[in-house]
Amino acid sequence: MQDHDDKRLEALLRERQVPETPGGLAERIILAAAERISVLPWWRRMQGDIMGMLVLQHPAAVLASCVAVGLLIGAEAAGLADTQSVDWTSFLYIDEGDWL
Amino acid sequence: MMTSGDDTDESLMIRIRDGDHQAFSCLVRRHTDRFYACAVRMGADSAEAEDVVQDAFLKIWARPDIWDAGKGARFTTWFYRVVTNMVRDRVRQRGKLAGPEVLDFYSDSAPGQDVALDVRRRQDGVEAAIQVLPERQRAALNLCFYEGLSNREAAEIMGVRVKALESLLMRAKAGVREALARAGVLDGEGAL
Repeated sequence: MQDHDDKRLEALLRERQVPETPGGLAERIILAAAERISVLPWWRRMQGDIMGMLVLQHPAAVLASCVAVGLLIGAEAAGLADTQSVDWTSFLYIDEGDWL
Repeated sequence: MMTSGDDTDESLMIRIRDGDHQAFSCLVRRHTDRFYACAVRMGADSAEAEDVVQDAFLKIWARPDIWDAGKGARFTTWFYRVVTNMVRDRVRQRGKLAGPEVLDFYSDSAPGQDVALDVRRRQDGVEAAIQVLPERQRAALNLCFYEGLSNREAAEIMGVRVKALESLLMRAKAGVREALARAGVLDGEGAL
């Protein structure tokens, strides 16, 4: 009985009319979009192009890479600083020899 | 670049990001009918549905980056969410649901006059019964039954769990059944 009721209900629901799209709606939308291209000033279009180039596709991967590269450069710089500190200390002790 | 019917919505969206108007035209022609029908079924009148579909597509054109390919959502699933949210906002602003023409016709018609009138009466009865459902039940019924989406897709669009969606769907059908029975369309003289 319940199945029969469900089938009758579904048959009725299927009778619902499909709304008919007004003629030319798609073309009006396409035209409106085309008009928006032409009204944009050149500098806005250029700005959009530049911003489009700067979009990061995988921000998490880029961030992780930047951190890794930063740590690497930091470690290298620390090593360099150690070497330089040795040079600086040696500079303080000038072997004047017999000059004085 | 040329567009063809084989291009997926997602590939068209990627080209729209580069300002490809031809790709945009292809996407609009492909989906206007479907989303206009969806807007009307969700409760918009014909003028509102036209505005909603136009605004939604132009939003894509102005800011194509609002659709994020990286999240893995299909374009249509995402666009259903955009359109249904816009319709919901319009209907709330307007403060009423069913178009008066539907309800007026339904209340004036006399059952059993002829076959065409009877069919029309049933159609209007179904329309009126759906339009008076609570907003979320109506959306669930439209997305699953009329738009042919899976429960999972409909749940994703509505931002609810699948179980909640199934519950909404069940209550929607019960509500429609009750309204049609009350109006004599399901069990009365005009019944199938």
